[in-house]
Amino acid sequence: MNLLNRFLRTSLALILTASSALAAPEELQELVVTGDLNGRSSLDFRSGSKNVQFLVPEGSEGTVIETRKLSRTGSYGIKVRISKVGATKAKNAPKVGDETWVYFSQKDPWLTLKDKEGSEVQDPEVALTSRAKRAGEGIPVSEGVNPRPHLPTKSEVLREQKPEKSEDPNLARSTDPKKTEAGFCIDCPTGQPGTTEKNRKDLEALGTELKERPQTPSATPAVPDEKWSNYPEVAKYASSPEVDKSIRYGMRNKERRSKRLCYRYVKRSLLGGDLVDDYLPGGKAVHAVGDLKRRGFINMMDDPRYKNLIKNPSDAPKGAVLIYRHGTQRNHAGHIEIKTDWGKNGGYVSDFYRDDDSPLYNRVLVGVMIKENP
Amino acid sequence: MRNTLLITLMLSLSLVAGAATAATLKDSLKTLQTYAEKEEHTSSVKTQEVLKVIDQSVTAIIEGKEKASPEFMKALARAAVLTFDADPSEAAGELLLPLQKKNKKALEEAIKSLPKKDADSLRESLKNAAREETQGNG
Repeated sequence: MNLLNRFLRTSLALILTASSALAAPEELQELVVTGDLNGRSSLDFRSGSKNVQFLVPEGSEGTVIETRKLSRTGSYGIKVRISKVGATKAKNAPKVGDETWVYFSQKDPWLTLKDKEGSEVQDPEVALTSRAKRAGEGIPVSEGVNPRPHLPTKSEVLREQKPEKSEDPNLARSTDPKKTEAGFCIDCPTGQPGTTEKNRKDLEALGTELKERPQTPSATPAVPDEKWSNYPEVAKYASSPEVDKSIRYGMRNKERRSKRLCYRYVKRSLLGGDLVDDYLPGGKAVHAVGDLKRRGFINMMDDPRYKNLIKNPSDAPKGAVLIYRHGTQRNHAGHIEIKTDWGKNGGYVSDFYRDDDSPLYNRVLVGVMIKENP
Repeated sequence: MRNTLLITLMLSLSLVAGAATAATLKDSLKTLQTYAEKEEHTSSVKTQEVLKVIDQSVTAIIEGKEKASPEFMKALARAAVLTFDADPSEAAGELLLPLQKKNKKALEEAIKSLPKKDADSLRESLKNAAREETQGNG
């Protein structure tokens, strides 16, 4: 019995070891080019990119130095050191010893991959992925660029606010520091008999009145701007606590002058005010139109109900997120800001505050974003 | 004969173009100096006009055949920093960026002529505009 148990355990161990060995990805070593391929100096395989070094002819062979998985397409870039050049009359053929990047797609490989023993790799996807992970998966990024930046969470955004300006209400109202805000009352009696009883009776009467008052359905919040008074969904958005919180966050944390980081500051305001649930991605303000639409916002400039009502930024309702493109440069990041009040009373806050009398230079309004269900 | 006429026509056109450029910079210089001397920089309307003048001047310098004088560059830098008072978006920094790329030395000489605080302010604005151009504003 003991012998049998020992035999069974040993067999099981051997089976497990063998199966794990079989499951291990094959170690890429060599590749053989089975069709003419472009050899490139970098991992950019787009048709318009100007990085083609060589035409690597069919029959060429080489040693695999590095592999990368291309995150956008799921295909691979393989860096190879040429050890044999296939027959060709091309002038830009590589020489033995040249290193170049070639493209590998499972659908259309044009390559045969061999392992260390010289046998053909049975599962190129697994072998390439394994190698790519060891080499560093994904396209290498430029120096100084962080490929996976940390995006602030809501708690971080709230924690990292500038301190609120503390205000002593007495000093704020009186310019003379020797006087308090409330003066002495020379006419007030020192005590009034029955005050407590009177207060109690007043409160009772108020309670009775409130119970007897007919319940009215919740009315649409009042809108100071007449233009928007017939649009309850706009009024509801503008008077929502989320909009107030976002504007307050923006005004508290703005800078005195522009740092050219308008989108960063607006992202924080929207997250800090609960108008969005996550930190908006992207580095260009113009892209906020799409990013906000994906988070439940609508662009009033595209909406047939509103588009004729907005001719310029001062027409936008309170709390709207305004997005601009550059007037002449197509690739410019544009600008973004939040309207702080109705009509011309409202200014605009981003990384700085501007009032309605300080228009932006060379910016064209492309988005006025509100949330219909904040 | 035909060739002579053609050459004469081309020379005349280039002289006219050059003359137009010189007139543009001369007029611009007057506007920029007035903006600084008469303290018009608190007015938003005047500031918008001056931003347009700065924009046109930079374009004329970059595309034109005439070189801007050191006096003009100083007036340009001075007016640019004054616009920051009425324009918190600091559009002038963005407008001067192409000039900085084309002739960094001349612009830096003009910035050095400003008071230190204004010079630092303009340099920071140019730096922010350059960063926005490559990295965006998110």
